[in-house]
Amino acid sequence: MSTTPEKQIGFPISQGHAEQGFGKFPYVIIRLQYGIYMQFPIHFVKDRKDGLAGISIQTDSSDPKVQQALLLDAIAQFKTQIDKQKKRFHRLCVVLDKEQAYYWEEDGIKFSHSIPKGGTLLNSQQEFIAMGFPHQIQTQQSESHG
Amino acid sequence: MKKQLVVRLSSKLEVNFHCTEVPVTSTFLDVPPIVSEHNFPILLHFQHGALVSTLHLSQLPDALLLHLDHNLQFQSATYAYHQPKGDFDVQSQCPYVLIIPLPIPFVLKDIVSIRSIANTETK
Repeated sequence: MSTTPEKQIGFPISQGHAEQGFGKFPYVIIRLQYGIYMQFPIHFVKDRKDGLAGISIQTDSSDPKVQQALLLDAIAQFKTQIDKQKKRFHRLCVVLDKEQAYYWEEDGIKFSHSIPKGGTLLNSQQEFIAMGFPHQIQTQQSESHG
Repeated sequence: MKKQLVVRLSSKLEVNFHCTEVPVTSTFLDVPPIVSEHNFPILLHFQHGALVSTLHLSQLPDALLLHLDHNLQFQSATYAYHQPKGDFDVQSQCPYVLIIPLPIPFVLKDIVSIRSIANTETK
């Protein structure tokens, strides 16, 4: 009988991806199909910066309360853009922390305590970010920016 | 009783909160145990008939309280932040107080209206 713990299938978000902002609250998740998700990190920036993965929200404020208050409008614009590009309704949500997300449904935006987790997580280049693990970085206290 | 509140923003976005409506007949209310029992979002409905209600918020997880009139229109707000120790009370003159967890992803001044959709389930 083996004494080693059962092997976990899948892999968490790597250090490299974490450095690009993946896995840090808040972030946007698009559900591509059952069990397959795409994550977009959110960056609050004072000036436009090229090369950041995900969604940049311009603000002069460094106060997280002020920054987070900008999320719905910014994500709505992002969603309008991608819906138009792909000519379809995208099911997405903005995840604020481990227990809070706002989901864009056909009939409006809905608050929920449940956040997407597990499955296969991709970035916008469709590279694998994580598989079978939470969509946020697992630290004692999950990191957050913004 | 569950109630769905729709917060309409100036950007025309509508945010739905599926709340537990809690009738309150006392002028003093210890809020944290209610949140522990029902979880956010919660709609307090004061039915005591007095002018002012006192809400005890000590040890409440970070939350935003929206004070609403009889027509559920937004009158004022209270931010309850980082207060695991010590006493913290607020008073409200409104018959309804909607409590939602922080952070909130929209600006308070952008709230245009709040309306209720029919009760979706009973508890």
